[in-house]
Amino acid sequence: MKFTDEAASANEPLGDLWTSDPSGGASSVDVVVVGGGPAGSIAALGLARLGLQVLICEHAPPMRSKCCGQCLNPRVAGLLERFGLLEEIDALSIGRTDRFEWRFEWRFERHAAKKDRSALESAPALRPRTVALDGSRPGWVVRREAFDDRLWQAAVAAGAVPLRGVAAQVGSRHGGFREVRLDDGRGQRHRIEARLVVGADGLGSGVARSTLGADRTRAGRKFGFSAALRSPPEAISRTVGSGCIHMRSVGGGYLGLVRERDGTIHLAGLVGPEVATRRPEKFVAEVLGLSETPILDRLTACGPLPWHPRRIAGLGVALVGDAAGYVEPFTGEGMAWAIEGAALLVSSIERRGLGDAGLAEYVERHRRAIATRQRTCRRLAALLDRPALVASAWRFADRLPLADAAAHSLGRRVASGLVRA
Amino acid sequence: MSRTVVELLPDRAPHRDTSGRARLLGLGTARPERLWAQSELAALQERQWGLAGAELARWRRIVERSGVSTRAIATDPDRLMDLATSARMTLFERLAPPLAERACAQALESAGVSASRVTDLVVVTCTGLAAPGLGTGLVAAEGLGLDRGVRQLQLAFMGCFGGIAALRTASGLARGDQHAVVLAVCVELCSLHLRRDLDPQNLVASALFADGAAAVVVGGDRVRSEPRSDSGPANHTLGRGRCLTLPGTSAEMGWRLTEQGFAMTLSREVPRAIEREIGAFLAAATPTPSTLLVHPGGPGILEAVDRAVAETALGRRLDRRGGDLSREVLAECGNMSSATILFVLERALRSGLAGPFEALAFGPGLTVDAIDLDASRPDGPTIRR
Repeated sequence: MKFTDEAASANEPLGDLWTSDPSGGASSVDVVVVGGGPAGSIAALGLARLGLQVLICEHAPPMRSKCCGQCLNPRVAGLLERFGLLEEIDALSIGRTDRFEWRFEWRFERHAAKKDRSALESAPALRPRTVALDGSRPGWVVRREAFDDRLWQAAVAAGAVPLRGVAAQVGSRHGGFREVRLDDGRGQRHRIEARLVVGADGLGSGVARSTLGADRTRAGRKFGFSAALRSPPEAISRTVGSGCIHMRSVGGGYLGLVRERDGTIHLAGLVGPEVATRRPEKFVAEVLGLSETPILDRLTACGPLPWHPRRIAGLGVALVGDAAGYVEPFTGEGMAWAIEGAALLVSSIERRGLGDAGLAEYVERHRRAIATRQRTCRRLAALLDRPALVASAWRFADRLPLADAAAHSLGRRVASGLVRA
Repeated sequence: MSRTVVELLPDRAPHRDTSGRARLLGLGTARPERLWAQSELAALQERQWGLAGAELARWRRIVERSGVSTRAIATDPDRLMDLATSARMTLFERLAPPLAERACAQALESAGVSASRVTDLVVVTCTGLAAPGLGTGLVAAEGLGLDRGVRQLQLAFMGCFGGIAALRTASGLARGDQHAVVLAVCVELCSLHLRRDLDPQNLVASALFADGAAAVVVGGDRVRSEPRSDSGPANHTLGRGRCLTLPGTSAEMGWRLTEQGFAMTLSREVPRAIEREIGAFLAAATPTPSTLLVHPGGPGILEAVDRAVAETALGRRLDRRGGDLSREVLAECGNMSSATILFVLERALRSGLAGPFEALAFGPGLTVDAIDLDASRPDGPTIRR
């Protein structure tokens, strides 16, 4: 792991942390947040503002690329405002989104219905459906590295002690304290105790697996990837207008595209196990109908999806963000869930304390607020797994004006369930 | 090369060091008994070369600027200049082992570890080649008492950064085997390569180089040692080490075999190249060092490092006494190639300078080799807010 000078000096508190204690007593803190993404940073920020002693550790160096759609749902504007971050996020955004376009194209169905290829290939293309996100504020397009870094800085400014380049492993619980083993990656390992460990360590969370357990019955075999098309082909650039989240579905997965201010097209895809063992360039070329294999920048992947822990809080541990469960990477949802979940945890602890009561309240409120929305996405995902069905509904709608209105209204409801809920 | 989505997935466990700790347990140094004043030795060299006029003036200028005031050399400089390389190697085989043995004995004593417990022996030199080599000689040396089962390794002909290479090799061995006791020794008889060559590059080298040996004892996590109470090094943790080969500088420094000894080439560009690259290299050091320990290759290199860090965040937090120690070693001992940095480290530990230390040395390549040393941390961390 290589740090810049700046990063190394941002780690100053590490020196303090590992200074010898003359009394020799075991050290303890109120909260250790494991993971410095949006969920971890917001949780650390909120909890530190409650006056709690918070450590936040992140094993990776700053400004790391992550697998992400780069869209931030406008639903979290109020929360960002409450944390005093709205203006800054607004300033660092590299685009806004106010429309959602969803396109099925005929050739994609070849994946779903290989048996009757000749008939399918001769069929006409389908009209894309566009749903405007009217009545709400537009969403943001953010560079993920910058966004994460900004939230991390905000958490540090709020008084959370940052441990960059430090991996944490959660151990057993004794007398109301969870043991946390810190490892700075250079052979230095130390043990501290925390009243609460916040697991914000993403998909397949190590905190969850070592404490609350993973829910294997709901484990999936899909994978996400994201990338940037820096000089997108003319056809793509024209289709993916600014302000629009553009989605394209196929049997083997789907792709969300959004335009950044400088014309770069950022794309994020979800693919099944068959496509995941292929190169993403090929998949992108196929979905976008490109004759040449595109050059993808900032290529990252995540998975497998979905991921669910057995429970999201209890036993001195609370999970936030992707660690708390992740269904489908619909553009704009992941970061919003992370922020909402972390805010819920903070307010539950504010009301009922760091103990079991606070965690129980978090579980309940999380279920009501976020699980419901995840269910919508899950249903939609199920629909996306059956493109032939959707395509025939679309096609039917193309012929009958009345059905078109119905389909449009359905699409609108689904889309607004997605982006606004 | 493009990869599939699955191949792009991040590692489940982040890359982290799961190896043990390497601790510096002891350090010892040795120099030949015959100590020369720089002026005395310079006058002798001047006579042998038969310098006069502009050449003499140039030589005196070089000596004056060398930053060296005394040097110890193992050989008799009167008889060296015209010796064939084979004769010089014979001298090396005779003179190097006793010097190495003294440094090893001192290092083991300061570590409080008996020689029989040494599991690995690392020998570093760039001034003599022979086999069976120095390592075998040390194992056979009765006075030292190494076990005949010791695992041997020789790092040969690297140049001045061999001292850091010794530290990081010892560190790697000890991190990989928690029971390892590594004895690493650098021994250099630079004076063996005094040559009848009036090229300015050879004159510069002839004004700087001297003889010496230094040894360290590095132990894995499970090694118990009883260091003497006045020895500094016990319980300093050694890092992994970092190297950087500077681009486009391979012609700037060289060390090659000739019929009459090994020949050093050293261009004026060396300090400039180092000054250009070293700032960024040092800024990436973790932990952020409090003291830099720089191999005193010559006064120009020390100044180049000072200039490179002067206006940086790192430079502002550095303890200036680190640089003073390098100059002190250069003045008192000259440049003893790979052993030199260990002399600097010894003084730093003894004078109680604050860690973390970043020790660095330069050599042909140009190569920068560095390793960090940190006072070991106690088991229970505390939080100060």
